[in-house]
Amino acid sequence: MPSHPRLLSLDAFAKTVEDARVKTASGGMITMICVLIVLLLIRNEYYEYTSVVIRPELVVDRDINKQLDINMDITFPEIPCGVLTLDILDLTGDLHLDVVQSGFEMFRILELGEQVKDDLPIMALSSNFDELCKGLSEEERNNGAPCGSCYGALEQSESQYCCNTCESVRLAYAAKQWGFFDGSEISQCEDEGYVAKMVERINNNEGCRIKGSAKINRISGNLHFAPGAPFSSRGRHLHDLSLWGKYAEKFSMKHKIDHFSFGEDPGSSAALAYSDIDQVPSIHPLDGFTFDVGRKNHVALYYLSVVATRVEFLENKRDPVDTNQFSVITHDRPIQGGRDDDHRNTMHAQGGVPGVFFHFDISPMRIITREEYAKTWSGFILGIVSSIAGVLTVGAALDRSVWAAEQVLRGKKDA
Amino acid sequence: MLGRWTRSNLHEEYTIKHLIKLFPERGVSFCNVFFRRIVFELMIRSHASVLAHAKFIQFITALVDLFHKPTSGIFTMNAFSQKVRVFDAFPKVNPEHMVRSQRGGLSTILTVLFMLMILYVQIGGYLGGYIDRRFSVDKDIRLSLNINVDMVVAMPCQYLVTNVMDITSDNYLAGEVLNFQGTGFYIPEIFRLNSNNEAHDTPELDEILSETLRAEYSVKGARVNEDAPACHIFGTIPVNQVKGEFYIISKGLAMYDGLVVSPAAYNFSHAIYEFSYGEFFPFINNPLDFTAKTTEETQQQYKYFAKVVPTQYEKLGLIVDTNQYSLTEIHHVTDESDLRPAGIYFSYSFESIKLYIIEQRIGFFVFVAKLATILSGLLIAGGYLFRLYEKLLVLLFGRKYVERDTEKKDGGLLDKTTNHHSKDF
Repeated sequence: MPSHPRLLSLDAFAKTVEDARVKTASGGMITMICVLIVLLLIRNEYYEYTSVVIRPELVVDRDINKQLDINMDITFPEIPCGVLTLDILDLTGDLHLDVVQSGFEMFRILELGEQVKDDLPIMALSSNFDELCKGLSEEERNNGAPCGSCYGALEQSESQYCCNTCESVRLAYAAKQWGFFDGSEISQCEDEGYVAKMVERINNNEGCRIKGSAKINRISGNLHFAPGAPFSSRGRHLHDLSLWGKYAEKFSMKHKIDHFSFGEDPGSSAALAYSDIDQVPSIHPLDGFTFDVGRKNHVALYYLSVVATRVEFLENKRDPVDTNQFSVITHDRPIQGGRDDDHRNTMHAQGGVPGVFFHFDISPMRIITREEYAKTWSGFILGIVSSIAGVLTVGAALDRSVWAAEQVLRGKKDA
Repeated sequence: MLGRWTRSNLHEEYTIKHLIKLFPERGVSFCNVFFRRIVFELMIRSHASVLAHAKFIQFITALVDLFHKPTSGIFTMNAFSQKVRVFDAFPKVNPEHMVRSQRGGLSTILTVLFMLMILYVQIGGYLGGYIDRRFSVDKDIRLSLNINVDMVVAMPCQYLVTNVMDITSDNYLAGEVLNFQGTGFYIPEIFRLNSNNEAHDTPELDEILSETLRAEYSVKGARVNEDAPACHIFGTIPVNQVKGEFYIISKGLAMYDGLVVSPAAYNFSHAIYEFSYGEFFPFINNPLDFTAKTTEETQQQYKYFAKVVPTQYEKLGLIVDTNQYSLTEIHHVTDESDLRPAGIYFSYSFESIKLYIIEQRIGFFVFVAKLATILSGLLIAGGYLFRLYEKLLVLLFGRKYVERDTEKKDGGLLDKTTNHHSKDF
């Protein structure tokens, strides 16, 4: 570089002249060890660079009018399908069902564990009442259209209401708070074969599995399984327990939850990336939960606190998933109330409807979990450079001391 | 280890045969136990197919070659060092070629002192760790949690009723597990009297951990001295972990108690020694601890609303699973229009998001690497700074002045090196 002699003074990498250099065996050994350590460190850096971490963030949920998905798969081994109804109530406690979409399927569990899809409706929708028990119009009455008897449960003097199906009689009875039992001696039900079906199921000790999902408005409320048709009385939500009570020896509230979640599962691929078990989101903590108190008149309560969650994937490889996490508090009590068997100091409330209740409460917070690489690209480079520099400098210092010691020893030997 | 050893026994035998053949002809004594260990370790780690492979033999041969000189016939240290020397990446300069100076010594001392300081700070930082704050929705399915109470109410025990009611509409007969001890009403000096809970510090992790002495009340449901002027109520109530309320009211109002207390005898002045949720850690400070309220009114109603946040503290494997709470107080004198009678009410509800406050340490190896980087960086920076300073001195005072403190070498060594430099470029 003769043309730029000025740069000479700036050389930060001034070299020692070859003649003045001393190479030693100990230096060679130290170099080799240093190189090994550097390789090890680079490997560590690389692992860190490629590993994925979760950075959760807490924000206030600002979405308006969002809907809440409920997915579930619950098995009642000792209650036949048709005995239980499923209600979803909201905060007001009325039978105000805001089920936007619901797709529930029921499977009868036969004696040998065989599962057969059932055709009876599970959802008790109050909005169906007016439609199911619709009266005849002027024209229809003149034409002599049939109008089934409601057996005194509804006003029928001018055919305001007609009960043409077994379901409509059942609802009419519920509205009047009459016991419907299994529908025997009601001709609509006998004709439809409803009675025979129910009796057969109960006598065969069938079980029932309910699987499906519903979309409801995102407000606190509850979802419950309880026997018989529902009705409201003095502001309380009650059920027709006549059939439940008729078979004193049958039915129990045992159940197994195979799945319960509020929204989509972000999938196992995401879960694999969670290095820390604390960070795995609580999307379906109830899965696999078994309630095995084999009592008949018992209430199982689940208090669920729902927190909206958004899962964002690594480098946006997949679209972010909006779902919900929830925490669970369980409680159960016998209907007759009184002191708890195990905890004598608890005085249980008396009354209510036997069943399984899921009370859910919506949290105002939203968690955003973001998958990220533990290190950025520049951080990775920086890490490599600094580990090389650090190790080599320490090596150089070590080598120099070893050499100095060697020289001292040699000097002594010579002397 | 043993399993691995036996599994590869066959290959071992095979390889040893090969090696025994190999080593004598290369002139290496096979007795070197250390060397043998290395070879065995390599053998065991390698797979059977690889073992049999010629490449492996080649590798061993190369290794053997590295450690001895074939011509000499004896494995000597000299030969070894000759080979290794080539790798030396830290070329040293003979001391005859170096000059030392007073200023250089001084700056070395300064640098070393600074390095020691950094070392001290870094080790302190490593031992102290760093605090990681996380949160997550609680995955555990929970049933109940404890409320720990220790308070004095200025009414005789026999007039008081305690109860817990929650949204499951169950009653918890707290009076059966709490202890009631007749005493005098007295508020110690350190109590915050009738003050709103302002400026309550959130305790730090170390503070929490130094106070994690777990305790339990040994008695349950004891009733002593029930007619004394004040009542010391203490104990643990296991409640459902749902929204609820623990209250202390006068007898004759909530249920049939067989005793009706005249409202004129009411006095709900109280001093709270401990009020916490979860496991009982008496020394952890809670917002309600050591607070007191006094009143002249007989119909005073005290309401405390607590929002309870599950919190887990972790340090060095020690886990403290507890609950913090934030508090709102409403106190007023009741009249006929009030739905609830005079008394002390503690309402509580739970947050679904659990907080984790964890002290963590970086790995030891990572720490050493980090330390090495910092210290070497310091050394290099120190070196350049020194050189810069020297250059500056030369500029300001001339070369003569700078070379005054330098070690004298015979033979004008400096001139020689400068000559070399100019040749080099």
